[in-house]
Amino acid sequence: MDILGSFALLLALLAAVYAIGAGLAGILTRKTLLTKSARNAGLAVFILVTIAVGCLEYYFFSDNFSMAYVAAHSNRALPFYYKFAALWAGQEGSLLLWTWLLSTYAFFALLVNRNKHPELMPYVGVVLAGVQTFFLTLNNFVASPFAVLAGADPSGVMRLSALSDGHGLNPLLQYPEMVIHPPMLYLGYTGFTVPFAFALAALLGRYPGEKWIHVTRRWTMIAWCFQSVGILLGAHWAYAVLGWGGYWAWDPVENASLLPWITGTAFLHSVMMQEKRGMMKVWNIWLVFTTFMLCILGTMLTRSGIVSSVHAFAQSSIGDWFVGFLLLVFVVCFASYWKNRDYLRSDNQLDSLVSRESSFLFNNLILLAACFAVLWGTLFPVLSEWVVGSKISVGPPFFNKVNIPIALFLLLLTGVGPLLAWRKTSLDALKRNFAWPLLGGLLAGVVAWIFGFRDIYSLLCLILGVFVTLTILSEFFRGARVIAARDGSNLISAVGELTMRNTRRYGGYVVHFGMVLIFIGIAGVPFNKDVQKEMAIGQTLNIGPYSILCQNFDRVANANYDSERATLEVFRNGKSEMMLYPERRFFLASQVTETMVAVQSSPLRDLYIVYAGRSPENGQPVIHAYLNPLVKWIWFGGIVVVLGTGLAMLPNRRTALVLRPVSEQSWGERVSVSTSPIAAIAQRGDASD
Amino acid sequence: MIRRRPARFRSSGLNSLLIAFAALSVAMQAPFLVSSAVYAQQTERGKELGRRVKCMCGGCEDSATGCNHTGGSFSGPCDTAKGMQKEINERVNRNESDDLTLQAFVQEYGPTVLIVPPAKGFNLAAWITPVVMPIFALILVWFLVRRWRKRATLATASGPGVSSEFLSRAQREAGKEDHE
Repeated sequence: MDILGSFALLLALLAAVYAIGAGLAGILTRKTLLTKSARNAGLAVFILVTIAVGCLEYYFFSDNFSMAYVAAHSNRALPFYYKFAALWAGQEGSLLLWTWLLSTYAFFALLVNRNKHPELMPYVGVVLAGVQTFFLTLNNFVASPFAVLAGADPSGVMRLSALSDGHGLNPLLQYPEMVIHPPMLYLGYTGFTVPFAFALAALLGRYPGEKWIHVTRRWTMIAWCFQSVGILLGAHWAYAVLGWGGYWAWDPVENASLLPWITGTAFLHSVMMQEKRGMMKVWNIWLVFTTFMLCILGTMLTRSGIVSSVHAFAQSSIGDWFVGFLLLVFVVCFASYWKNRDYLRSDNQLDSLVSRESSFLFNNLILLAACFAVLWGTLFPVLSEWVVGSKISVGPPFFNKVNIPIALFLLLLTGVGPLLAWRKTSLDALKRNFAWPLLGGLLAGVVAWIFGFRDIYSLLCLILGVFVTLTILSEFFRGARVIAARDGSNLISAVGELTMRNTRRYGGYVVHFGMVLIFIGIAGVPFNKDVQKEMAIGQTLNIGPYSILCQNFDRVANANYDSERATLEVFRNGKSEMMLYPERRFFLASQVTETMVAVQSSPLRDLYIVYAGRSPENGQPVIHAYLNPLVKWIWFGGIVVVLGTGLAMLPNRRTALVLRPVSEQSWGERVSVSTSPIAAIAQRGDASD
Repeated sequence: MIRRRPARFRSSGLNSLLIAFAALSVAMQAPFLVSSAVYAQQTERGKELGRRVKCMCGGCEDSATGCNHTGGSFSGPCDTAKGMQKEINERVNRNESDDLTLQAFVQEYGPTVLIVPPAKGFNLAAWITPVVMPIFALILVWFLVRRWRKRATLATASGPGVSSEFLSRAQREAGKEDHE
C-alpha cells in the first residue's frame, strides 16, 4: 500500500506519454487502432491518478505519519473532514489535485466524444495528454506527495521513520469554505484546459467551421462557473476568517485567480460573434490560448513564491518548470496559429459601430484592459526588481484607482450591449430601448444623493446598476408580453416560456443581474466603519445604530484547540437584538492562534465582530467591531450568477409543431401584415439572437 | 412706585453679559482649543499617512495603519506597525510635510515601503501603462473597424451575384440552426 500511490503516479505519467506518442502516430498514419489506443491511454491516466489520490487520502485518514506530506499537514485530533481537505493543504497535494481534476475533465471529454468528431478528437487527446504529462512530471519528480520520512540511526545509516503525531493543518484552512474553495478554483483552472485543447486541435487539424466552439461551449461555461464560485468562496473565506473586515485585498494570488476569469468572460461573449457572424476567429482562438496560459501563470504565482503574497506557499524552484511550460505552450500556440492563419479568416465584416458586434468588441477590449491592468500591477514588483534592482510594492490603492473606472465602464456595457441589434441599430430603436432604463438609473442616483450617498464611484455604480437591471427587466417584459399575447397565458408563465425557449440568452441576462448585485455590494465599501475598544465585562461599544454590551469572557477546549470566547449582547434603539460570540482559537498541534469572527448579516449591513485578543500593553480583552454595508449582496449575487450559468447551459425548449387547416391564416402571414409593436418586437427578438 | 424695566431689556442685558463672558472664555481657552483641533486633525492625517506605507515586519502585506496579524497572539497592529505609526504621528506633530515623512521611510526601508509606486522614474510606467495600452488598443480597433467597413463596402459594390462560397456558408448556417 505504501508504494501503490507513487507507483500509480508513475504509471499515469507513462500512460500520458504513450497517449501523446500513439496519438501523434495515429494522426500521421491515419490508423484508427493507434488513435483508439491513445484515447484508452488517456482514459487510463484518470484511473491511475484517482488511485494515487485515494492512496494519499487513505494515508491521511489512517494517520500515517511516516509520509512526509501527511506529517506536515495533519494530526490525530484533526476532524475527518479537514483530514480530507488536508490533501490540498500544501504544494505537493495541491499539484496532485490539479492533475486529478485535469485528468477527470480529460476522461469525460474523451469519453463523451468517443464516437464523435473523428478528425478532431485525436488532436484533442494529444493536447490533453501533453498538459497532463507536464503536471505528472511535477508530481513524480519535483513535488512528490509520497515522500517518506527518514532519519539517521546512531550508526549514521538512513532509516525510514515516523512521527507519533503530525504538525497539524494550517488553522487558516480549518474552516468549512476551505474544504470547497480550492477544489472549486482548481476546477475552474483545469476546466479551461478542455476548450484550449479543442481550440488548438481545431487549428492544428484545420477542422472546418465553428464546430469546436459548439462542442466546447458548455465546457467553457462549466469552467467559468467553477472559477466564479472559487473566487467568491475565497473572498468569503477571507472575510469570515482573516478578521480584517474585508474580502478582497488585491493580493497577487487573488489577482491570479481573477485573470483567467476575465479572459474567460471575454471569450464567452466574443464567441457569439463567431457563431452568429463568422467573425473574430483569430481573436477567439487567442482568447482561449491566453485564458489557458493565465491559468498556468496563476498556478505558478501561487506555487512558486515569485511574488510576495500571504497566500504564496513556498519559495521553490518549481517556478522555473512553470516558466518553461508557459514558453513551450506559447511557442506551440503561436506556431500553430502562424501555420494555419489563413483558416481563421472572417466570413463577415462589421456593418456599424452601433451594433451588437461592436458592443462585444468594446466589451472584449475593456475586459482585456482590466486583465492587463491587474496583470501589470501584479507583476510590476518583479519587473521593477529586474529593471532597477529594487522591489516596489503595488498595493490595493493602485488596483482600485486603475480598475474601478474600467469596471464601471464594463457595467455600462452590460446594460447597453444586449439592447443593440446584430448588424446595425437605428437611432429610434436606441431611444426606445434606452430612455426608460436610463431615466430610472438617474432617478435612483438622485434619490441616493438625497439620502447621503455621496461617494462618486458608489453613486455611479448604483445608477448603472439600476440602469442595467431595468434593461434586463425590459428585455424579459417585452419578450414575455409577445408570448402572453399570442398564447393567452399570464405574464409570469410567459417569462418562464420565454426563458426556456432561449436559455442561453436569458440565462445570460440572469448572470448579468447577478453581476449587478455583486457590484452594488462592492459599492458599499466607502461607507464601512470600524471601532476598536478594550472592553471589560459590563462595558459598551457603540457603532452605527448598535450598542454592544460585553457580558462575559470564557474558555472552551477540545482536542484540536483551546478557545477564548467573548459573549456580547447587541442592542439597537435600546432593544436587545442578538447575542454574538467572537472567538480566538489556539490550535495545539500547530501552536497558532486564529480568529473566529462573529457576523450578523442583513441585506442592509453586516455587523462584524472580531475578538482581537488581549491587549499586549495591559492584558485587557479587545473587541474590534466593523459595520460593513451591503456585503450580503455580493454573496447573493454570486448565487444568482451560478443559477444564471446553470440556466444558460440547459438545452432550449423546442416549440411544438401543431398541424392546422390550410384555410387558417398562418402566424407568419399575420405578423407580416401586422404593424403592431408586438410583431415588431417578435421580429426584432428573432433577429437579435 | 418703581417701574420695572421690561423683561426683554433685562434678559437682553443678561444675554449680552453671557455672550461677553463666553467670548472671553473662548478667547482665554483658544490656544488649547486650537491645539486640540490640530492634534485631532494630525491623528487622522497620521492614519492616512499610515495607509500609504507598508508594514515592514515581513509577515504581512498590510499597511502600517491596516496591519492585522492573522495567526499572531493579537489581531491588530504588530510591534513594527505600531512603531511606524508612532513615528508618523511624531512627524505629523512636528508639522512635517507628507512628502518629507514618506521620504524618511523610503530612506529607512527603501522604496518598497511605499504602498503604491511613486509616479516618477521607471515607476511612472506602473501608472501610465494601464492607461496607455487600452487607448492604443482602442485606436487599433478603430482602424481595424474602418478597414473592415471599407472591405464590406467594396464587397457590396463588386456585384449582386450570390457566390458559391456564400451559398455554402448559408447552407452551413442553416445546418447550424437545425443543430441548435
